[in-house]
Amino acid sequence: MKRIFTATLGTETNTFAPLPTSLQSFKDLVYVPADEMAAKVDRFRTGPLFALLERKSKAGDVEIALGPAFFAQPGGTTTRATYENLRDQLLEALKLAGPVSGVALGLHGAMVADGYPDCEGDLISRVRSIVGPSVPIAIELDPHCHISEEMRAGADIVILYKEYPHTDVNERAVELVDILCDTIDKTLIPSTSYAVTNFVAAFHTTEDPYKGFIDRVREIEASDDRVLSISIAHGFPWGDTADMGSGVLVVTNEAKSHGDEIALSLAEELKDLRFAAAEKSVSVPDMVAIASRAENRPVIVADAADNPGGGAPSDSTYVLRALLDAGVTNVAAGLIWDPHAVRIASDAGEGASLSLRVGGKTCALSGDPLDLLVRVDRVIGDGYENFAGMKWRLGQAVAVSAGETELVLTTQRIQCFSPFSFEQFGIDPAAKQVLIVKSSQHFRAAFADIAGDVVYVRAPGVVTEDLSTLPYREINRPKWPIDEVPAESKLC
Amino acid sequence: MTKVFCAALASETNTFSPIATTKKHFEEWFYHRAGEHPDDGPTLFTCPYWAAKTQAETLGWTVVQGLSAAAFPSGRIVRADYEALRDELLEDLKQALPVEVVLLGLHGAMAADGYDDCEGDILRKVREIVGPEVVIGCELDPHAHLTDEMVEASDALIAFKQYPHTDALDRAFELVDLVERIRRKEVSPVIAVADVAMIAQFFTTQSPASGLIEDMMAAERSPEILTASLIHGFASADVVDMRTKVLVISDGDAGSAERWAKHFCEAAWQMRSDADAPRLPVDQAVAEAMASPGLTVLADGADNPGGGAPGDSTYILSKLIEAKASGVVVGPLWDPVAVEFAAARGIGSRLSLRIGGKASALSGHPIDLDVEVIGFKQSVTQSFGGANWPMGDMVGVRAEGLEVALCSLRNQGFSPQLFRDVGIEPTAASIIVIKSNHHFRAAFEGISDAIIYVCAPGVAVVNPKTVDYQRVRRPIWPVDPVDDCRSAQHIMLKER
Repeated sequence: MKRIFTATLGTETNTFAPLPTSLQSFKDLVYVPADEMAAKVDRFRTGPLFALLERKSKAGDVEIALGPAFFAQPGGTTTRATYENLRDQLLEALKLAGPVSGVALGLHGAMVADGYPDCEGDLISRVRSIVGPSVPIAIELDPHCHISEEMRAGADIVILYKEYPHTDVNERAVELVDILCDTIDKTLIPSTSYAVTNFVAAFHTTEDPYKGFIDRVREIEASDDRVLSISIAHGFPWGDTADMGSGVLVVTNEAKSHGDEIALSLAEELKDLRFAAAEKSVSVPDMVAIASRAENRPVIVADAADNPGGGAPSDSTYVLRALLDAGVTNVAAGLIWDPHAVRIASDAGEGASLSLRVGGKTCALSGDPLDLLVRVDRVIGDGYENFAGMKWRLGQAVAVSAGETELVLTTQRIQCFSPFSFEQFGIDPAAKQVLIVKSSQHFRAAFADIAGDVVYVRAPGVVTEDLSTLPYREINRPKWPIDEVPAESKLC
Repeated sequence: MTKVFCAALASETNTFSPIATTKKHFEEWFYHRAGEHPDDGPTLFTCPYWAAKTQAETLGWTVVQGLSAAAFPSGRIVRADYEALRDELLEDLKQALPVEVVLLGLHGAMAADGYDDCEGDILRKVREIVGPEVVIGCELDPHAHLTDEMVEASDALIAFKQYPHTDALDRAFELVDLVERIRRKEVSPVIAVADVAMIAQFFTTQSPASGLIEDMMAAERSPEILTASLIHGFASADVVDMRTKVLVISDGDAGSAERWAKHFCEAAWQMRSDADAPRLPVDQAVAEAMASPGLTVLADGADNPGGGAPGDSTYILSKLIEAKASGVVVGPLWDPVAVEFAAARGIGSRLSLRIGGKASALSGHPIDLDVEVIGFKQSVTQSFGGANWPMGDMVGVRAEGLEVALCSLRNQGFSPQLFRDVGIEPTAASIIVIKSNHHFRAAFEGISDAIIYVCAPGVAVVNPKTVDYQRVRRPIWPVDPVDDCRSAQHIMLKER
């Protein structure tokens, strides 16, 4: 009987997002201390726990030591106290579990906390020092991760989800647990090879050419006896840490040099796939040209780089400023997070005219604030948005207008999901030339009825896809596409 | 027994401020309904009530306390909110009738939408309610706009003499004494108001303004006049009567009231260029501060929250950063969002933080800094003039060469303790940028080697010449030619 400890701790950290990920952020999503886990095991089974439960019921050769499960929505850097609290709860649970024959952790791989650029590396090495050198550690990661040397050195087996969207979490976890069990039984001796590249790209496994690439990876796994698992790390470009980038990780059965060859050769192939990943978005000047000429109104301009759903502040001014500068003024924009301006405008009251400084307040990627002479058109204390069957409260919110330009400002940071964002303030979105929505994709469903053209704009922002605008400091350079360099890969 | 009604309704209105004042601002700052004034002491504008209460037994007074409300300096009060507060005060008065004396604590520079002269409006309505025989006295802040309407409706007006305003209670006792003498018909007040046709700041802690105040006090000790007040005026308001005035009250003697008003008018006029401190442009102030040994305080009067400004402008700070100054301490900078972000991360953490430049077009550009959080304290208060002034939650952050104290409630910097509360030691600095016009001086003079008053852009007017006044009566020095102003000076007389 193999006694295996399992736990989960993770979040995807956008280090450019100014809003801290706090203990509350975990409590808002998944926060299950170890002593509550047994009662909630059906509701919070992350990959490795799912696989262990499967194995227990089928092979019956494992006993599960339950650790905690902590997971937060993507957001800004996790506060130090939060990370240390959660990590120490996990480590304490591991110590209380007593001797174990193996450890299986469900992590993210791109979690950053204050003072911890590599949370997973830190966590794994602390787990290692508790369990000692001979107990195998297996970890499952999201492909949007930063693979560090500390992670590879601390863990015996690393497996990433293959699919994006991530539909194979449990499948990969089953592989992970099987390899872990074989390692504990000493029928396998896992060895990790890693080829790192000098680029980062987003690979959608739903379409070719990346779909075909992944199919061939699976063929190698199936046909090569010495290969246990192959993972492709996409990397997560909104995490400014040294190891940010794409790479190929191969786990072999005691065949390091063979694994090295495969990793390097797949990394070479990956080079050519990186271009296919580019999105169909337009620059800010092109957006202005399209929006000003469009006859199919209203033109919806999706400012995905400032989408609060991706951890952005939703207060950047790049798109609005560019339109106003170009004389395109029949514009409505929402939902702009500006509690400061909401207080000033709502105090002035409906009907008041004042000089209002709007937006550009949260971080360096918020752009310059806009100074507008506005009229306060509507003040609402209990506004909301509708999405996914839920009401999303706007907090105190106001609609202000500068001529025909109309803005909805909120005190709660909420994504602009639907025309109701505007309509509840008396703004007719269908009558505008341009609607700026702070959203990446969710807006599409509800805006479909009124939308003319839809333009995805490539503005600066916390979740921008134009990586060259991000103020990187920690990543290894040069890095394509931030730097114009030929793609390379090398073994670590 | 003499029945005396006391009430207070005050705010200093900066008509250039984009931040409207609402009833909520009064409620957040100081708002007590009739009979509910706290027992632990007066505030700046409830000194008349406090003095009346203290003297009640001696004078045989029964004191009825009406609305006592004050708001932190900001923009014009929203019309409906002003009217509601005023009507509450008037209703309290009606409930108290009949009374023999009305004592009001007003500011004198309160303006609302549709009301350039709230005090004139209040006093006129009070007079309508009580009739011509009841004695009406009011205490004012010297940063007032003294209108004819206010004077017409009142029997006695006394302003604080000191700036910083450390003498509000002393003046209130004088007012109580004076209105009682008027009530007993021991004296018959004649009021002379001299329009100096200028606007200036009078720092009464230093010569020559201190000398003028001493002369006024000496004159008050003579039998010729009962009281004299210097009304500085408040340059951050575009209202008709914005200007420096002199107010003298004599006992039935129009000649002496007029003579002394003329005398102090001339004295104020002569010191018009010297009463304020010299103010340096930002570049020059920064260069001098960097060249000076020891600790230099740069006073940012233009962004003084006490004058209705947001307290978040970055003009001086960005110049110091550009000049690579070191040992710089700045505060209090009003930035509730930055406070929230830094506080969430906690002391010892590092983050990129955008600070300042957020409230208005005169706030300058926001500044992006990589900072370490070095202090955090909830519900900070500063002590000044015997009162505690709320700052909300505060954080201290450190960047290269720079430490900044950020606050979530808008207030000026009175005390070095405000920095120490968030991990910043002000005496270790080379340069302190303080968001205050003059009140800071009391507590900072002792720790600094030099003080420089800076003329930066901002919502609070420090240089009237740069302001495009639309409503202010002209001519007025220093905006208009000296000779025109000189010939516009005149005296108004009012006898009871």
